[in-house]
Amino acid sequence: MRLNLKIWRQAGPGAAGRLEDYTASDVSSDMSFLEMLDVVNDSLVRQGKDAIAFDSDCREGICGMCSLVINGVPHGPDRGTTVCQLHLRRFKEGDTITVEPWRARAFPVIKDLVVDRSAFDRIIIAGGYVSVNCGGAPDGNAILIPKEISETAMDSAACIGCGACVAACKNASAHLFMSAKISHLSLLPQGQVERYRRVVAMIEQADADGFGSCSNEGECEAVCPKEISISNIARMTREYVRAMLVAGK
Amino acid sequence: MTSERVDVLRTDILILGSGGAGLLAALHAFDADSTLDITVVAKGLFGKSGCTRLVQGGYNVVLNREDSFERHFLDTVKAGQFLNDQELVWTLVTQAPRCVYELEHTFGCFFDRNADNTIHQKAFAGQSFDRTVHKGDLTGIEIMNRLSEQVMRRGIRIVEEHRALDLLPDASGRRIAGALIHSVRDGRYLVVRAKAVLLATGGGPTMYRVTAASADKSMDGIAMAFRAGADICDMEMVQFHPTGLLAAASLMTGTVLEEGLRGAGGYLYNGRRERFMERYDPARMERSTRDVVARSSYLEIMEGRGSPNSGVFIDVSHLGAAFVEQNFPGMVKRCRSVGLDLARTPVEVTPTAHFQMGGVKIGPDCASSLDGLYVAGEDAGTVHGANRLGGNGVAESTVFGCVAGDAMAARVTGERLPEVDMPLAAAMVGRTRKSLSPTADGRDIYEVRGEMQRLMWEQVGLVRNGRALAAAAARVRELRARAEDLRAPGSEMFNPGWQDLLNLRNHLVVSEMIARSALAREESRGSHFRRDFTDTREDPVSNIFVRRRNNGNDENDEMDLYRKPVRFSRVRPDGSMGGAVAGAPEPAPLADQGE
Ligand SMILES: Cc1cc2nc3c(=O)[nH]c(=O)nc-3n(C[C@H](O)[C@H](O)[C@H](O)COP(=O)(O)OP(=O)(O)OC[C@H]3O[C@@H](n4cnc5c(N)ncnc54)[C@H](O)[C@@H]3O)c2cc1C
Ligand code: FES
Repeated sequence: MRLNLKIWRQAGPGAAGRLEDYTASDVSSDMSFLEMLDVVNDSLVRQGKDAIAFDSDCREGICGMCSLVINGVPHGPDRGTTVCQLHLRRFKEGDTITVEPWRARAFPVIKDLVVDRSAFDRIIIAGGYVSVNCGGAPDGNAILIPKEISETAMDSAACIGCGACVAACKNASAHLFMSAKISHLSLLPQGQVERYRRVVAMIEQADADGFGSCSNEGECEAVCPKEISISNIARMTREYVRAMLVAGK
Repeated sequence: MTSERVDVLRTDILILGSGGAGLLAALHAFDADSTLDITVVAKGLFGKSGCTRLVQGGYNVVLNREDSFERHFLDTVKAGQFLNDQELVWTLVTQAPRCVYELEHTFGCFFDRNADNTIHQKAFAGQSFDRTVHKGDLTGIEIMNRLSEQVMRRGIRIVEEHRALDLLPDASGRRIAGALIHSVRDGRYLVVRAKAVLLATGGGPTMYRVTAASADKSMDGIAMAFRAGADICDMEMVQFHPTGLLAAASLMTGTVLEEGLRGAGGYLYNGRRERFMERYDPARMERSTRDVVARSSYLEIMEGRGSPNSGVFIDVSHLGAAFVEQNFPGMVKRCRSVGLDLARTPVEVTPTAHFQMGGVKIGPDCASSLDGLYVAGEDAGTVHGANRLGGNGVAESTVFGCVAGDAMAARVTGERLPEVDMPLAAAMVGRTRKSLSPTADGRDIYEVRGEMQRLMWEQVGLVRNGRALAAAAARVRELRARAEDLRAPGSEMFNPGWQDLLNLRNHLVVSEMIARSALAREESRGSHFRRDFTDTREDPVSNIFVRRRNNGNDENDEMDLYRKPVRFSRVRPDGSMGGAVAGAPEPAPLADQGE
C-alpha cells in the first residue's frame, strides 16, 4: 500500500521544526507503523539524506521508548497499545498521516520525533522508590501479601513510563504517571515507610519541572497503552491530603 | 583537530549497559561503598533499553524445600550438554535465592503469590521442578523498573543514549583503563577513565534475519572485548527460541511467545496437524529443551511439513480460553495486536535467534582475561554451555551483576586511576568520524546488512554443515572489509543511519566469530547442530576460544581459535562426581546463602 506522511523534522533542541512530506510506497499492510518508518529511513539513507530520528527498542509494547503522536493522538488510534504495536492495516490506501513528537514543556525535543523525558526520572528520584530494607529472614517467601492487594498493585505497576499521558493532556500534567507509581507503592508493605514523604516530594518535583495540574479531562487514561485507571489520581489526591494532615501543614 | 570535542570523565567504576546485570552491579558496588563514583552508560534509554525488560517467562530459583540446588545445577548442566563452567553454574544456582530475596526486600520488586502468600513458581520447559518465579508475564518490567528507581535514588551517574565504541587500555597496554563513549544524541565523544570497567551490553544475536532480541543491541560488548584482546568462547552456541510469533510480512516475526505456554501443556503441530515432537523427543514432547524444539520445528519446515507461512503451530486452546487469558495476558494481547486469538485458535510460530550463550570468558568474580575488565550477563560466556534453560537468563544477569558489583567495589578500593591511551582514543574517534559523510549515499549499508542477516540465518543458523559454514565465514570477512569503507549520510545529531552502520560493523565481527567457531566444532551439541557431524562426540569436551591475533592493525584484525577441555569440577557427563564436591554433603536449599 501507499501512504502519505507529514512528519515533524527538527534538526536539534533549539532549532525550528516543521512538518515535511514523505511517501511510503509499497509497504505491506501487515507491517507495524515503526517498520514503515524504518522503510522510509532506509530509503532516505540510500538517497544520502538524514534519517528521521525516533525512539524505540523492544517493539513489543514493553519498554516505553516509542513515543509518536499519530494524527494528533499519542500512540495512535488503537486503545491500549503503544505505537510500536500499531499496524498499517489500521489505515487505508492513500491516507495522509501526521506524525509528531510528544509535546510538553517538560519534554523538550532533542531531534525530530525524539524528546527528552528525563523529567520523569527526576520525579522518580524525588520519591518513586522503596527505601527500606524490609529485613527479616533470608527467605524469598518472607513478604506476605494478600493476593487481591497484590493484583491491584500490579495493575498500577504496569506503567512503562512512556509519557503518552502527558502528551495527551492539555495541561501537560504528569498526574497519571505519578499516581500509578504512588498507588503501586502505597499498596505494598515495602512502600509504607516513605508513604507520605513520597507523594509530596513527587508532586513538588513535577511542579518544578513544568508539568501542569490535573483538571480531570481523562485524556491520559484514554491514551495510556497499559490502560492505567484514572482512579489512581483520586488515590493520589487522598494520599496527598493525608500527607498534609500527617505533616501538620 | 579532534580534541575540542572529546570530553574526559573520571570515575571509579564504569558500567556499560543498563540491563539487569548493569543495574545490579551498580547497586551492589554502591551499597558496598557509597563513596565510590559510579557511572552507568546505556546505548538506549536508561531503565527502558535491553532484554532484561523483555523477560516474560520468569526467573529460575530454588525456593521450595522439595527442590534443591543440586537439581537446578544438574538441570542447567544437562541442558548445557556439559559445556558449562560448572563453578559459574554453582554460583548461579546458589546465589539466585538470595538475589530474589534482595530484589523483593531491598529493591522493592514483588512477584506473584500463591494462595498461602508464598512466591508462586511455575513450570518451565527442561526442568525437573517448577521453580520459575514471575510477575504475570511481565516479570522483566517489574525487575527493571524497581532496579532503575533504586539506581536513580542513589544518585549514581547515568549517561543514557550514549554508546560505548571501544574499550581503552592504559598506555602500556597492560590493563583496561576506560572506554570511548559516543553520544547518540549529539555525536560528541567522551573518554571515560575508570579503575574498573564492566561490560554488560547484553549480547543479543540480532545479526540473524529472524531475531527476538531488543533492537538497539548489536553484540557491541563482545565485539569491543574482541578488539581489546579478551578471551571469548563458545560463540557457536546461539540459542534459537522455538516460538517466535509469525505475522506474515511483519517483522513482528521474531517476537517471542513465552516458554510457559509449552510448560503449561501447549501443543506444537506441523502443517499436517501432527504433534511432531513425537518424532524428536517422545518422552518430553513439547516440554523438551529449546534447542531440540527449535531444531525440530526448523526441520519440519525445511522438509515441507510447515504451516502456510513457513512455521509451525502452537496450540493452547485445549487448556481453556479463560485459563490462557488469565495466565498469559501479555501473550494474548500480543497475538491480538496482529489479529490472532491465542486463547482459542492455534497460532503460527517460527524459531527465532534469541540469546548468545557464548561470550567473554569470566572467572568466578566476573573478571575477564584483561586486567580491569569485568563482564556480566549475556556478554559473558560459559554459564549456560551449549543451551540455556528458559528462566536462567535473567537469573544469570542479576546474580552475576551482583557478583561483579561486589568484586569491582573490592578491587578499586585504594587503587589509583590509571591513565588511558589517549592517542589510541583519538585514532578511534577519527575512525568513527570518518564513517559519517554528508556526501555519502549510504546505499550499501542495508545491502550489506541484508546479506549478513540472510547468510547467518541460512548458513550459520539452526542446521549447519561444514561447507556452508566455511563459505559463510569467508563471505562475512569480505563484508567486514566492505563495511569499513561504508559511510553514512546525515548529521551527527541522533542519526539512525549512522548508528546502523556502527552496529553493522560490530555485527560482522561477531558473525565471523560465530561462523568460525561453528566450523571448528565438528560435532553436534546443544544448540549447535551439524548435519555432517550429527553425534555429540567430542572427547575431551572442549570450549572453543576466539582471540584477536595481536597484529596491531585495527581495520583488519585476524582471529585465532583454540580449544581448552572443559573442567568437570562437580559432575562428569557419565554422572560421576567431579573433584569439587565429591564426598561433600548434599546442600540443602537455602542453606548456602551466606548472611
Ligand atoms: C524477548 C525475550 C524474552 C526473554 N525472556 C526471558 C525469560 O523469560 N527468562 C529469562 O531468564 N531470560 C529471558 N530472556 C533473556 C534475558 O533477557 C537475558 O538473559 C538477560 O536479562 C540479559 O541481561 P543483560 O543485563 O546482560 O543485558 P540487557 O538487559 O539486554 O541490557 C543491555 C544493556 O546494554 C545497553 N547497551 C548495548 N550496547 C551498548 C553499547 N555499545 N554501549 C552502552 N550500552 C550498550 C543496552 O542499551 C541495554 O541497556 C529473554 C530475552 C528476550 C530477548
Ligand atoms: S518500542 Fe518498546 S514499547 Fe514501543
